[in-house]
This record gives sequence, structure tokens and C-alpha cells, in this order.
Amino acid sequence: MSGYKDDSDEEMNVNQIEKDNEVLLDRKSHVQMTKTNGRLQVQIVTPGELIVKNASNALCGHGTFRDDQDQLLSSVCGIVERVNKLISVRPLRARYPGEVGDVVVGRITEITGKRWKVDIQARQDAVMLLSSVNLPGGVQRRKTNEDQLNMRSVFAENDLIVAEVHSRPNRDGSLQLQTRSSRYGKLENGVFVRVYAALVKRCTQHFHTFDFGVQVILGNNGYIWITKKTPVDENKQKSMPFYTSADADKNEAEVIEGKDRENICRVRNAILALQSQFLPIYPATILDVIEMSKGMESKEMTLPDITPLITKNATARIQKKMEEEDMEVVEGGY
Amino acid sequence: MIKISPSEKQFLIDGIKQNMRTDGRSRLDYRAFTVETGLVAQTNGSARVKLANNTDVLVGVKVEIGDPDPDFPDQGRLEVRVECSPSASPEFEGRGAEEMNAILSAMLRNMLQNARTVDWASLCISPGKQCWIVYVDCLVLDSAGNLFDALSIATKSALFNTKVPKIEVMETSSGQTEIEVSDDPSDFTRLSTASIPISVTLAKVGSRYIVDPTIEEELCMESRVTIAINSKGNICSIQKGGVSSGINPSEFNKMLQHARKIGLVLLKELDALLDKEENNDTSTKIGFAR
Repeated sequence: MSGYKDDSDEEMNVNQIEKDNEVLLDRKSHVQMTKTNGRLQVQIVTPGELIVKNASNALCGHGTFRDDQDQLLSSVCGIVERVNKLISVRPLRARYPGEVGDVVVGRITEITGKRWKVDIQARQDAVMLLSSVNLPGGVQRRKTNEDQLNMRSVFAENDLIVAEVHSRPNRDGSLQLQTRSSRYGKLENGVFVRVYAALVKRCTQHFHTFDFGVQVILGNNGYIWITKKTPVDENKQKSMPFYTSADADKNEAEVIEGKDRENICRVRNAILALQSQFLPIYPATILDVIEMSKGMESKEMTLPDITPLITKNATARIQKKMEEEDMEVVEGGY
Repeated sequence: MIKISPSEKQFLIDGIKQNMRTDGRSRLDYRAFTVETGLVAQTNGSARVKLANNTDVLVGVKVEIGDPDPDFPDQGRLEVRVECSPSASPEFEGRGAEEMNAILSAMLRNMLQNARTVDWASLCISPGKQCWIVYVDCLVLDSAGNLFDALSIATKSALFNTKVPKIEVMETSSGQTEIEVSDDPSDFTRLSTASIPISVTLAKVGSRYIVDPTIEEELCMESRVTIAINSKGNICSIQKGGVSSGINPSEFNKMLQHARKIGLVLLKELDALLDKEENNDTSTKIGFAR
């Protein structure tokens, strides 16, 4: 243990806010929160803003830099996070960083050799190898040269797909995707919405079906797919794990009409309303907005005066959640 | 460049057929727009228009004393420039925006140059020698479809906001004219903007047409008709664009009627918004903080 000092022994010179207010640390998300007038607040910084004045003991994390006066400044706009001495800023509108196991929605941009390039709102396009998709019909076999020539019949350029992040094969941070499950594959007959990746809350399930017959796929990368709930057909499920371009050509896609289409619009506008108020997007908050928007037409939801009203419940939910977590932290001995 | 898959396209087209677009609007619904004027201190008049928080254009008007156009010696001069910023779309980076800039500038110039829109003769100072030059500079900050309509609304608002300094013309003994511009900033005249038209763009998708297309809908459209409407409900200019072979005359008549109706509603809305802006003090302005 010689040469290593425990954090608790060392007094850190942290910023003014910490002295003025009671500083709490959410242990789950590591977000630094302050309590002012009984309301919990996170510390939001803009590029160049001071985070720590005397940062000789602080560790300079992502989104921060040290200037010549030994001050720690933010290099992005975002929320301050602290893990012991490590101070970092989580940007709010950054591109999708990517994590193995995430469900993502992406758009095919290019087909090269035996791989697809997929736009997933990350810094660079993700890669999906021919070997990491299921073939139409679900047959399990080695991919041949012929399969390579027929790649466009599986996913063509501009097609939307849902996939899982498989790995991070290179040091440059690019991601590799896979669709080796019946849940993944091509997306058809629905609406695509793009939101900030940071707003999509990590959940156990990113495929969600609402009671009113709308299914959403909340991609961790901020790409969201909304469609009508498909009736589960056991036989079809077994024989055809997912649609391919060839299948779609054969059986004309069902036209979504009336109430279903209205509901899809409603979900879409609810998600955009949440984004405009910078609220987390997950089934509970989407439902909150939809509940509030009952009695109005779906097109009214996008009006600038209406958006704050219909997101009221969702805002209250988030505020309450933050307070509950605050209680836990206090009880935990902080 | 925004991309769209064939299936998404089909979904949009089906929605238009059923009169329920993806954002919940019906075919002839316009997106809500916001107008803010007087945001750029260095200009004589400016306006920023946003269509549903997505399409975002900023227009600045600067007036200057200069030589009149030799073809129209007794009128003021108009210079229009549209610039699509790379922040609107990556395709506008470098020289990518040049073509779009040229198209939009030409359309806007044609719409404004019409003698009846602005009283150009009132901008003449001394015939053949000196006149006011009105520079209309447009900056496209974000593009989510229907750029030209947004530009036309913003231009009308910016011209409405424009303050032309008062001048005094004096004849010197040698027969030369001398101009004295008033130093007092509160001493100004306004342009007559009541008869400036705004444009309504109708996009034809399949056998139907829609108003105020989003950028995704613009990818589905076959042809586009931009119709300029003034406050009297008269049509000032028509321009057809797009790739399709053409539009049936009887359908075209219907489109004109719809455009006229929508244009009049928009103009009324815009006038109300501009009046409100005019009476607002600067402290309530949000400007670029949003």
C-alpha cells in the first residue's frame, strides 16, 4: 500500500458549488448533484466552463481538459460526473458511443465485399459481416460465395435494420453488429424517428408493445422504429425468422390504416415531445405523454405551446425518481 | 443527404393517401411557424423563421446608397443572396450548396422584383444617379423541408422590420447632388411590405398533393408547384419543379385554389405575429438562446 493514498485521506479542492451546497453523488449514475432550495439539480456545464478550480489532485476524464492555471474545464456541453477523483463530463448531444449487447436501429449505407456498413449515429459507420446474419429461411450453414453475391437481397442500401452490437473489433472504436436472432432483421412498414442517443434510457427490454397495438424499438443509439404490432404467427416464426427484401416483394406489405396509423403518429409525436423537453425516453414516459394527449388530435402534439403541457406528467415522474434516488443516497450514509 | 428506404417511402405515400401524415397532419395542414424580428443588430432589418422547430432560416436586410440599375434608372435596386449553411445538411459543405443557393436566390429574386411587390420607385434618390440598394441575405440554418416557403415568409418579415434612414437631398451650386443621411437612429422610414407575397408550395405525391412537405415527404414527391400569393389573394408567380412529366390542368386549378386559401390564412397569421413582434420590447426576445 505504500505510495498509494486512499481517496478519503486526501482533501480535494473542489469547486465553489460543493462548498455552498450539499453535494450528493448518485452512486448508480455517478452524476454529481447539488441540492438547492430543496430541489435536486445536476451540474450542467458548457464548453470552457470551470468545473474544478484547483485540479492538481483531480483526474481529467472524458470531456474535460486542464488549462495552464491547473483548472479543470469542460470541453463539451453536458453533465458533470464524478467517480472518486475522476471527473468527466457526459455530453448531451454526442454521437452514440456504443456498448456491446445494445439493441440498435441502423440504416445500411454501403455494401462492400462480405460486409454491410451501417449508420447507427456513431462516430463511424458500424460493420456487419455476412457471417453474422441469419440467412432467409433461417437455415444454418457456412456462407458461400453465392451468398456474398446475393447480399443485396438480404439487406440493400438505405434499408433500416434492427441489430445488436456484437463487439468492438478494432482499436479505432468502430462497432460490429449482428442479427443472429429472430428478433433482429429488416424493418418495414413503420416510421423511423431520430432522437439524441443520450435520451434513450437503458432498459431490460428495448422492444416494447403498447396495449393499443403499437410496437416500438427504442434503439440505444437514438434511432427509434415505430410500427404496428404484428400478430404472432407461430408457423411463420419458425419458418421465417425475419423478412428479407425478396419476401417483401413476394407478399405485399399490409397497409396500416385508420386507428393504427393514428396511434403510430401519436407515439411518434410523444417521443419528439419528450426530446424537445429533454426528458428520458422509455415506455413509461411515452405512455405519460400519450395519456396527457388524450382528447387532442395527434397533430396538435407538435405545437410549441402544447408540448410542455403534455410532458408535465413525464417531467413529474423524472423529478420524483431523482428525489427517490436522493433518499437512497442519503440513507446510504452520504 | 437524408436517406429513406423503399418501405418507409411506401408508408409515407400510404399515409398521404389516407390523409394522415406521419406527424399527424392532414394533407393541407401547415406546420406551426414562429417568427422573430430584429435579431441581427448590424442589419437594417432581420427575421428568423422556424417551421415546427425544424426548418430554420435567418434573413438580414441591409440598405445602402449606390448606383441604380441602368435599365431601371428611377427605381431602387434589389440584391438577393441565399446561402445554405453546412449546419443544415452535410451535403451543403464546400461547394455542395452552390446549386441550391443559385436556385433559391433566383426564385426569391423573381418573386420580389415584381414591380407591385415593393414600391421600388420610392427607393430612388436621384434618378439615374443614386438609389437605395436593398441587400436581402438569407442564411439557411437548418433544413427539414419546404425551404422556399420559409424563406419567403422570413424575407417578408425582414423587409417589414427594415428601417431605412431618412435622407436629405441637396443640390450644390455645381449641379451635383449631395446626400445627407440622418444621424438620428429613430429617424427612419419603413418599406411598404403589405403587398409582398409569400409562397405556398404544394408537393404532388402519387395522385394527391400536400402542403408544407417535410424533408422525407420531399423525397417521395413527383412534382412541386410553388405559388406566390399576396394579401389580396392574387397569384403573383407560379413555378413548377420536380421530376414528373406534368400536372393535369383541372387538378392544377384545384391546387391553385387550395394554395390561395392556405396563403391567405398564412398571411393573416404572419401579419398578426409581425404586429406582435413590433410592439414587443427587446427584453422578451429569445433569439439564438433557444
